[in-house]
Amino acid sequence: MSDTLGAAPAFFTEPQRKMMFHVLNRIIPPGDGFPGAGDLGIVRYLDAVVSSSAQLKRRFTEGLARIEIAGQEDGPAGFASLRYDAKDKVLRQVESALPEFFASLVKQTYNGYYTNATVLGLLGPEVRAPQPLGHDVEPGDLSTLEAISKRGTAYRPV
Amino acid sequence: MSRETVDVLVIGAGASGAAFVWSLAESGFEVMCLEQGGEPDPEKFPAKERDWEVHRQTDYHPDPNVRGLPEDYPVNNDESAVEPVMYNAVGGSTILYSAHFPRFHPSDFRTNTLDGVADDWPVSYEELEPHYDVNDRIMGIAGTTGDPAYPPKSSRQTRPLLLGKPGDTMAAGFNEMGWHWWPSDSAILQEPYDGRLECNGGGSCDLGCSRRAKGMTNVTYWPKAVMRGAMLETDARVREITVGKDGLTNGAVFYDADGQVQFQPARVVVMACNGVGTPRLLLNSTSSMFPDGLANSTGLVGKNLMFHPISMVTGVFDDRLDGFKGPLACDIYSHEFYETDLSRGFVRGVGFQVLRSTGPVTTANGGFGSHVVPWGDSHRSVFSEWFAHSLSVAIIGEDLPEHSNRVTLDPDLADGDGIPAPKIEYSLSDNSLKMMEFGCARASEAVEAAGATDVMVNPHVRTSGYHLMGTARMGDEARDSVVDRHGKAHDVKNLFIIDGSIFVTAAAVNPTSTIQALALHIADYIKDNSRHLLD
Repeated sequence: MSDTLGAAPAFFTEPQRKMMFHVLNRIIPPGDGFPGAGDLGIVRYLDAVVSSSAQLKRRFTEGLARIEIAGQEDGPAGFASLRYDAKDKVLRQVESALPEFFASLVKQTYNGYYTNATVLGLLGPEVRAPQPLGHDVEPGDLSTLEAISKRGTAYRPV
Repeated sequence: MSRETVDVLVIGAGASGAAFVWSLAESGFEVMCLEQGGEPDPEKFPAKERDWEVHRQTDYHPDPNVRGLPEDYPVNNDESAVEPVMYNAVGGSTILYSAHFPRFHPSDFRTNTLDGVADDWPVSYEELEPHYDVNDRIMGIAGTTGDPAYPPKSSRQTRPLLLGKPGDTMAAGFNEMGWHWWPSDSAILQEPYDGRLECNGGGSCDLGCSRRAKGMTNVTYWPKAVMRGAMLETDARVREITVGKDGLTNGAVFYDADGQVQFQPARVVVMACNGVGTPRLLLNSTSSMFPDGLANSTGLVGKNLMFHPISMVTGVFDDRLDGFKGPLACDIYSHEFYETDLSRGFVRGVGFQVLRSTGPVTTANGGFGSHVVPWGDSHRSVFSEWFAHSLSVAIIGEDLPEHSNRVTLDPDLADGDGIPAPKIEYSLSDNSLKMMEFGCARASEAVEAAGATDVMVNPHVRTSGYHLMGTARMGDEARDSVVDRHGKAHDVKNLFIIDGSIFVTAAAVNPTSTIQALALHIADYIKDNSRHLLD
C-alpha cells in the first residue's frame, strides 16, 4: 500500500491541509526519534480515507470547521499559530464537542501512522506484514505441566 | 426452470454445515448446501499487506454491521449489551475465528442436576466423545494430553502451540497462584497435517489464514466433502423454508447469485445458519400451519439467546513480550474457576484464556481491551510501554438461558434482498455480572503475579458475540424445546437444526468443537435412520 494513497488531494482544501499538518503533529507529536504524524504527511492518508466515505466527509467537514473557529478564538492567525498547549486545549474542546469526529480523526491518524514505512522501520524489522515470513515464537516452558497433571481431576464428575 | 429434488438440503456452509455435509457425503448420501456467502480464497487474505491490521476495521471486521459486504445482513443490536459477530462464507465464522477448540466439561451437560439451574442436555459428554474425536481429526488440533480439567482425551493431531513469552509469563503467574493452566487445544496446526502447512506464527488469524494452518472448514471439511460428491452452491441466500400440506418441509426459497428467486426442493432440510441466522430464518418461514414461524409451536424459537459475556484484563510488563508473534488469541488457558462454587456468590463459572497481543495499529487503537493509546504528548511513551509489552487474559463467563434474551425479526430493518433483519435483545443477569466481576478480580491477581507493572480491565467487551447459542434449544420434551436429542424439530419431522441454536446451556468455553460434534452426532442419526425419519 502506498503511503500517499493517491497524489492529488481529494477532500482537504489547501488551507485545511496546512492546518491538518499542525493538528496531526499534536495527535502524534514528534519525539524519541519518531517523526510527528504531520511531519510524515499523514494528511495524504487521511485525505484518501475521508474522501471515500460519506460519513467521514460529513464528520470531517464539521470537525475541521470547529477546529478552525476555535483556533481563531484563541489567536487571530488561527490554529497553526498557537502554542502547543493552546493547540491541545482547542483539540480537547473539539474532542468533547464532537466525539465521533475526534474518534475518527484519532483512529485514522493512528492507521496511517502505524502503516507508514518510515514508522514501521523505526519500530524494528519484525514489525511488518505477518506473511509470508511469519515470526519465530519461543517454545515456552512446559516443565510444570506434569505437576499440574498430578494434582488430580480438576473437573466435576457427573 | 425447476430444480431436481435433493435428498438432504443444508443451509449454511460454516462450522456445523461443513461437518454435517462431509459426514453424509462420506457415507454416500446425496446432499446439497446453500451458502449465502462466497468461497474465500486464502491467497487473498490481507496478511501480506502493509496495512493488514486496518482490515480488522473494515472488510474483515467481525461485526456485519461494520463490514457491510453484499453477503452480510444487518443486525439490530440497539437493545443488546453484546454485538453478535459472524461471517458469511464457505467456512462461515471459522474464517475469522481464533480457533480455540476446547470441549465442554461433562458437567456442562448437567447444569440442572448439579446446580439446579437451567436444564440438562438430552445428550452427554460420553455420547458426544466419539464425535469430538472424529472432528478433532478432521480439523487438526494442536495440544497435549494429560489435562486434569478434562477426562482423558485422544491424542492431539500436532504438538501444542508454542507458548511464546506471553504464554510463559502467564504460566508463571498461574503457577505463582497455584492455579490450573494448560496449553489450549487449538485448531492451529503446529506441524504439516493432512496436506496443510503448519502455522508460522504470523498472528493474523482473525483475517483468515493464508497458510491453511488454521482450521477453517473451507480447507478442512469442504474439500473432502466435495470430493465425495457433496454439492455446494454459493451466493445463495435462503429467504424461507417451505412446508407442504402434510406439515413436512419440502425445500427452501432462495435468491441465487444473479438475485433471481429459486426454489430448491428437498426431502430433508437441515439448518446450519448459527444462533442468530437460524431463528431469523425460522421466524421468517411462516405459513398457515406455522403462523409464528416454522417449528415454533412452543414460541421458543429465538429465545434463550446466550453469548458468553467476555471481560478483558490486560497486563503491561517491563520486559518485551513480542505478543504480536504467534497465534493471535490462542496460547494457554486456565479453568481454575470453571466449576460452580456457591461461596463465590454466583452459580456456574468462568474460563480464562491468555491472548498474546496485537500489531502497532491495533495496539494504538485499543488492543484487546479497548484501551486506546492517548493522543498528544503522552502518545509516544504510552505506545512504547504497551506495544510488544503486553498480554491479555479473556474472561469467558457462562450466561444462563433466559427468555428475555432473544432474537426476533426487526419490523423495519432488512437485508439487500428485503429479508427482515434479526433484532437482538440481550442483557446480562445479576449472576453474570457477579461472575464477571469475580473473574476480572481473579485474572487481575494472576496478571499481577506474573509481574505486570500495570493492569487494565475492560469489564465488558461489547463486540464479543462470537458464540451464538440457545435459540432453538434441544430437549426430550416437545413442550419446552424446539428440537429433540437428534436435532429433529418436534414440529416438523424432516427438519433438523445442527448449529449452536440447539445448545441448552452455554458452558464457559468456545462452542465450535461442541457444535461440530453435535452436527456429526445428528448426521449419524440421519444416516442410521434415513428410512424412518418420519416415524
